[in-house]
Amino acid sequence: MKEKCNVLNNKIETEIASPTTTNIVSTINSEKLQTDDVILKLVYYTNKGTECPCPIQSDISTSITLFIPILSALLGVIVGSTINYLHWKLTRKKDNLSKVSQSLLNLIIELEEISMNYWLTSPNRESENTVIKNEIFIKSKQLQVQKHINRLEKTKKDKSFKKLKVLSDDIFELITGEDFESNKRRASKHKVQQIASKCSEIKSILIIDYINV
Amino acid sequence: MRTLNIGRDFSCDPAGRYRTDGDASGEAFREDFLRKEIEQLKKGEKLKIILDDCVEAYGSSFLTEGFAGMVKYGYISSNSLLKKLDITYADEDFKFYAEKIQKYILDAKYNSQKYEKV
Repeated sequence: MKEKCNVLNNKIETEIASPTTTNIVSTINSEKLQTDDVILKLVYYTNKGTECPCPIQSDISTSITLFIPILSALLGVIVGSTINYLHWKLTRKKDNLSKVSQSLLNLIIELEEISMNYWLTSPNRESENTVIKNEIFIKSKQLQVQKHINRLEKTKKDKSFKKLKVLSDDIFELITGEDFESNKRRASKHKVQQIASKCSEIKSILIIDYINV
Repeated sequence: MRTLNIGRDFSCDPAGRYRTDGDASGEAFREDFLRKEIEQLKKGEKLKIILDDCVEAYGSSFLTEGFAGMVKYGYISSNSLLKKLDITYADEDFKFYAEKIQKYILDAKYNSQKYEKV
């Protein structure tokens, strides 16, 4: 095809000084060209010989004609996948946030109960084992609370998180400060009230801003 | 750099404030370990404190007495103590305790109380 085209080009260059419709038709007829070649030649003459009438041109236009829908389909797939991925990521993030918050809420409820029992009773010989058990529970639960706070910090850093962080720090000081783990510790109703109040605040923040979002 | 591994050198279960609360109290840690280690440091040398090797958790009472007590009883100023300490941990959750120690040291008033051995 390319060779035929080149021969035809040469003939056009040498024999047809100014291409007219009659000349073109006669040239086309004399060469017994196929329909594709005729189209190519017409394109060539229409563009006053500036377009290459070689079949390569035909391949490019065919490729472009094919490439555009493929590219469009590919772009569609990429955009669709990206949106799907982002949506999935957001849903997963929300889901994680809700799970961590729910788990933190449970921890706070447990910590509140244990620490209230602990600070409501003064140590005595009979309750020695219970006191030690509660002290161990309090410290481990408190560390778990901090772990959850750290996890929340990675996903949500806003005003309510700052409040949550301050409250969890207060809880640590309140529950494990002063005479914690001391034989001289005395039951303190005031401390228990403070613990209950701080824990309630934490629970409210978790339910309103984290779990029911 | 000198190293003080709380779990290995002192106790895996640090608990309580005063010696009367048990052998692994904050007071015992400060008087028998931290203070001695700090006094043995050369000029510009730091004391590496390992928080989480063998220790599960800390209470505020232990940390306050153990670390801030150094400032409260006038052994060293807050800034000097903070400069000398290099608090380390492998478990990222212990960052909380490291930050608490720094806060307690900063908040402590230098020589505000006289230490009386019980």
